[in-house]
Parts: sequence; structure tokens; C-alpha cells
Amino acid sequence: MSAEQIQLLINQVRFKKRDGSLFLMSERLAWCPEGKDHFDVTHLYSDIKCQKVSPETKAKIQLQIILLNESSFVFHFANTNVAEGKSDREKVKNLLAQMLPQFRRTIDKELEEKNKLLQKDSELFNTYKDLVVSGVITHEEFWKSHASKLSSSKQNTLTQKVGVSAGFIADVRPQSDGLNGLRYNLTADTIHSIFSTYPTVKQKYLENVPDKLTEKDFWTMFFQSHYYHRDRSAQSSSKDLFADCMKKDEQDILSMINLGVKDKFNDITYLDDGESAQDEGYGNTSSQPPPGKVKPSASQLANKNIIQRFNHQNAMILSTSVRRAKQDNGAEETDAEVIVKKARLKDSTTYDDLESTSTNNESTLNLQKHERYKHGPTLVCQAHQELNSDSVREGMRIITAQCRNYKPHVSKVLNPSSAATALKELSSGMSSSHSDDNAIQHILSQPQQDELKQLYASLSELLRHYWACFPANTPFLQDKVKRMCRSIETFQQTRLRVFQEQLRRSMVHVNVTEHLEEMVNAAFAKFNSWQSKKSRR
Amino acid sequence: MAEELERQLLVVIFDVNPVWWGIKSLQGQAQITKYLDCLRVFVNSYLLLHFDNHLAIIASHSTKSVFLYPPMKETGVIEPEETAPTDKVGNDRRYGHFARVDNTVTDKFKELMREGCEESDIRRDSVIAGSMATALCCIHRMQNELPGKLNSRILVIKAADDAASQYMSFMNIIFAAQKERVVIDACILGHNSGLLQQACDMTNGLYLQIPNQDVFLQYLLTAFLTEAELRKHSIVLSQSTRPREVDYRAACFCHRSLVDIGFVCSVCLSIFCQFSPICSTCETAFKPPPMAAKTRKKRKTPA
Repeated sequence: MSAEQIQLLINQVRFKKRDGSLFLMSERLAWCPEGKDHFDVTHLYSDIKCQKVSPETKAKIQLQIILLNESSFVFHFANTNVAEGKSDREKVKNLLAQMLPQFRRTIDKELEEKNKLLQKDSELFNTYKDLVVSGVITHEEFWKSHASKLSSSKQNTLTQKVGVSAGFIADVRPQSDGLNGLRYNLTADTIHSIFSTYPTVKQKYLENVPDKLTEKDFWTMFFQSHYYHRDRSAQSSSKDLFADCMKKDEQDILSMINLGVKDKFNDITYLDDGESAQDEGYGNTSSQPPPGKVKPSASQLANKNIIQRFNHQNAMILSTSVRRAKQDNGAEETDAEVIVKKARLKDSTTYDDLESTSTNNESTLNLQKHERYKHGPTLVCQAHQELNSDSVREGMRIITAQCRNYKPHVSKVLNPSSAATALKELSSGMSSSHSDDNAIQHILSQPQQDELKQLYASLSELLRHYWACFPANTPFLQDKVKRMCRSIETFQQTRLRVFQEQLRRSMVHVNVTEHLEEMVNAAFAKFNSWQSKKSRR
Repeated sequence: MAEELERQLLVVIFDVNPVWWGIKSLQGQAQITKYLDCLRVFVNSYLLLHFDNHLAIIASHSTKSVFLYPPMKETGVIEPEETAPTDKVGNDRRYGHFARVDNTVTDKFKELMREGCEESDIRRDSVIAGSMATALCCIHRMQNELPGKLNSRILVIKAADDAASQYMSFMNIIFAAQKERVVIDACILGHNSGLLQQACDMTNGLYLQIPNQDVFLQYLLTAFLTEAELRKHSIVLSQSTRPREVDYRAACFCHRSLVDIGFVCSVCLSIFCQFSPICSTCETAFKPPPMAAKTRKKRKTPA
């Protein structure tokens, strides 16, 4: 037991209200109750999905381990000295953090998925059992041919990055706590949004938390700060933590303006429209108002500030989604860029449905003898019968005479015996068509039918692998052909023969496996001809 | 009772090709008058089934089709049923409607055969396709004139051989009938007809060849009296209407013979039994198929 190297031993660890010690070994984690010499809990690192620790504020110092099968174990570090307990826990946590990634199996997810698929698809499972478990083909070969059924192999695994909601600040609603204060609920998402929208805040956060301020204090300060409320209160206090953020923002805005609009399609400064061009920058302009104009009033200034903030926020929010895609913006336009630009220009200026449908280069069908389409097949007997023979004329004459003297004799149209003959002939089809008892359900019992189906599924899977090897022009394929041929042989011996034997015992005389045999023989014939051809070469 | 009124309409097409009937009666095998008697019994039975059963009979001559019933004037207007003289109807105690049908058919038939046997009428084939087109028009007209649902059926009593020149119109009629849900039944007295076989197969009709003239009426009464919908419930008829092998092969354009596997021009869809480098219909030039792949390339099973 102790052959393994113990990497860390922590005493006074409680598990399920019992004291004991936690062992971290080279390959597994174990817990041994006090006074015993065996481990009650032991888990390989490779089985552990993740670890969690209890929050700092909680009295109990705990560490939770979640396994791959979703079961979890909580260890309580019960050192009487709280600080020591904490440091114990830290040690375990750090070591685990090192160990877990080493043992994490990358194929886990795939394996899980395959398992699920096999559980869902019983037919596939049976085939799998037949072919892979019995060693006829390898695991990889099987999944290679069924890769399409695995969703992980599908191409579209790139997930779209979630952007920042434009109204996220408004969504952080303060709640009154009954006294004279407000309560803000911050989620990780909101914090992330704040950080990505206001990089200066993030910077401050990184500077101050955790050494100078606690997280809670930081956010309290943030929401109390003039930076957050600057549009509501005009005065600012000098000790405000975020005082210099504003200046940074301003610089940001200016740099953004100087950067200009990258996309020429969206750059409206191009459009020189006289007066309106003065308002360019939309409140963000760095230039002073023209000397001739009156100094803007206080309210105008406030409005300008708000607009400026709006624009800044918009720019930051937009940039969160663009950031990823952004690459170097070389000053020189490459050829490819020009082409893309032209395509875009064409795309935005032309409309398909306004284009005239061009049907210029059509060649007309030049049919020579179109009456050919209108003729049906000619009967052979029609060809050599003359119309003007005497018999025809004679017949015509008789017909005319008959019709002229036609008197209906309705009473003599049918005699009973011929009626009986006709009825017999008409119903004869019934008795003869009753011979459909070759149907499979009359021959085989339900389990036999199922087995036959199973045989077909397995054999066709095998044969598919086999035939897919041809033309066998690489050593790998040649090897596979041989292996497959052996597999088919094994299949024939172990499965097909057994089934046939079983049928014989249950008195089934119809050869239902004939087709299976034919398929196998075709494969063997191909193998023989292939081998003889190869040896000749 | 069904809420919606359903009526039956039967259009009988009777092939009266004088050449075919003349030869048959010369050989003593069949007499047209006997068949006409049988037909009269048959239509009477049909009318007897329901008071609202509608009927039309078209005679298909070698060059024209003529309505035997209902009586039509030259303008195509159905003549008003004349109030038959009492002596004509009453003397043999026949039901008046039957007598009217019988008399009209007899008169029209005599009139047709008397005037119809001229030199130009000596043809071996009848205008079956034309008669069927007339029948479809008649059905369409009845559908417009009569309220409620009309179950229509065409029964072709065919004697003479298929005419190759009627192929196109025949096919058009089959598809029109299929679209209008008109059932085409065929009762064949002479040689088997590939075209009618296809017609019956495509419209769920019944195709039967009659062995001799004695059993004609029994065949008519057993097989063709009931409407197509009811046949499904009859064991005998549902057996004889079961999917049978119908020859859907096409004829090649060069020799007009049926081909199992042929060459089809990819431009004009002409069918040939042999490969030719230039399609003789549309003059498209083709590369001769490579010898090895000859059997595989450009081969197509005809529709």
C-alpha cells in the first residue's frame, strides 16, 4: 500500500464527521480514518473532474472533490488553528491543481459520447459487440466508419463569443436594504462586462484588490464613486479612487478619434457637407469651438458630456466583440483587401432582383423529325397484312349486311355453361395467387429473424470495411485486406456456421443464409484474385 | 347515407372497326351484332343498379367517333328525350328508360354502319384515342352540369389493333384521365394492347382479355359492372386487379421496336437501340463511348 510515494499528508481532516488523514500520492488521493490502517476513500486523479474550496468567509474550511461520475466528496480541514487549517487546505489545493491536469484524459469526452451513442442505438451496439468486442475489427476502425454519428466530429464546434449587453449597467439594479443604504448584486457576468467596457476600472481592480482592498470594498467604492455617478453629481472629491479614470477615458476617446474610421464604407467624414462637417466627432471632438461662436452654456456642456460618455460606452461595448477578430491593420492595402473591398462595394450597391435576367446564349433545339416522338411501337403482325385483299372487302360487305338487318336478340346473349366457364376463369386468379408463403415470417421464429438481421448487419459492416480497402495500393491497405479477409473467415466459422447449425436443428429447410454465403464467397473470390495478381507482379 | 350526392358515369367505347369485324365474321369467330346485344344487356344492368346512374356510349369507327347514346345533334347538343310513342315502349313491357337507350343505340348504330363503310374507312385501326378524348370531354361536361360528386369511368371495348400513330394522343389522354381521376377499364377482344395496359395500370382500371364471344357478357357483368371503388371489396376482382407486369418499355426511334436497354440522346431524349455518333433527331454530335465502358456509358433504362 505504501509502495506509492506519498506526496502530501495532512492530518486532522474530517470526512463524514470522522477524523482522519488525507493522503495525496503520486497517482491517487486517499483518506484514512484515524487509528485505522486502511483507506476508506481512495480515488485516482484521473477520475477526478474538479475540486472546489469553500469561500474564505465560511467558518468551516472545506475542500470538495467532484468525480467524473458527478459524485462528490467533502473534506473538512479541522485543524484547531484556523490559519493552519487554511494553509493545509491551500497546500492540498495547489498540489491537486498540479496533479489533475496531468491525469486528465483528453479522450474522456469522446469516450463518454461514444458510450452514450451505443446505449441509445441498440443496433449499433450489437454490431459493435459483434465486431469490436470479438476482436474482428479494431475499435478505431469501427468508429472511423461511424464517425458521422458522433456529434463531436462535426465541424461546427466554434462557439460564438457572447458580447456585452448594451444595457448591462442599467440591469444592475440597486436594492434598498431598508436602512439608509443600497445593495448592488454583482454577478460574474456583470463584473466581466464592467471590466471589458471600462478597462480603467479593471486596471484599478488589479492594482488594489486583494492587497489593499477587499473585493467588496472595491465595488462599494466603485458604486459610490464620482466616476459612476458623474452625470448626477457635479462635484468630485479628491480622494476618489477612480478620479483619474475619467482622464484616462478622455485620452482613450481622443486616441480613438485620432485613429479615425478604419472602414471606408462607414467613414462619413469623407462626405464634405459644409456646415455639418463641423459637428464631426459627435460630441467627442477635440477641437475648440470656432472663435466666432459663443461659449457653450453649462447645460450644453452637460449634454455634451453625456453624449461623450454614451459614445465611449458604445465604442467599448462594440470593441469587446471586435477585439478577437482584430488583426494588424497594415497601412498598405494588399490585393486581397482590394478584392474584398470591391466585392463589398458591389454587394451593397447592386440588387439581384433589379438586374435584368440575361438569357442571351441559349441554343435552340433543332429537331429534324419531331413526328418520331408521336409514334408508338409498331406491332410486327401489322406490317405484312394487306388491306385491299378480297377477304377484307368480303368482310366489309358482310358487316354492312349484318348491321342493316340488325334486330336485337337479347334473350340469347348468354348460355349458362359459358357463364360458368367465365366465372371460373375470372376467379382462378384467386387460388393461384395464394402462394406467398415463402415470406420470412412463416419460416423463422422471431428470435431467429432477429439473429438473421444481426448477422446481416455485422457481415455488411465487415464487408464494407473489406471492400473499402480496394484498390489496395498502400502497404497499410494491403495489410488491412488480409486482416479483413481473416476476419470474414472467422465470422463465417464462428457466427454463420453456428446459425446455420441452429436452423438445421430447428427444422428450417429453406436456405435463408444463401445470400450471406454469396456475399462471403464474393469477398473470398476477390481476395484470391487479388492475391494471385499480386504474386504475379 | 352519404351526405354528399355521388353519381356514377360510365362511358363505354365500342370499337366498330369494320375491317376487323368483317374478317372475324368471315372466319366465323365473332359477330358484331351479338356483341352489341351483350353490350345492351350490360348497359341495362348498369342502369338498373341505380336510378341516377349516367351512361354514354361512343362508337369508335376507323376514322370517326360517334355518340350512340345519349343522342347528339350535329351541333353537339344533347337531343331532348322524345316522349316515346307508347307502342314502342309498352309492347314488350320494358322499362321506358331501357327502351329509350336500346332504341337510340340501335338506330344510331345502324345509321353509322350504313353510311360508314366507304373506301376511305378501310383501315385496320380505330380512332380509340379520339374516342377516349371525346369521352373525357363528355365526362368533363357532365361534371360541370351535374351537382355533387361524379365518379366517372371509361370502359374501352377494343377489337382492332393498336395504332402507332395514336401513341402521343393516347399518352396525353392517359395522363389527363389520371389527373381527373377517371378510371379507364379495358376489355380486349383482339390482340393485347400495350397502350391500354398502361392506361389501366395508371388509372387503377381493370384490363381483361376476353377469350371468346360466348363469355363476353359474363365478363362484362362480373368484372366491369361494379365501380372501381367497390372492386377493392371483391376478392375475385381485387385479385385480378393486383399489380401485374405491365410493359412500360419504350420504342426506339429508328426501328419502332420496343427496347429493354437503349441509348437516349441527352439533348432531345430520343431513344435509339444502337449508338450513333450523331443524333438523327437533333443532330447533336456525341463522342463514341470508350470500348471498355461501352456498356456502362449513356445507358439508360427507358421510362
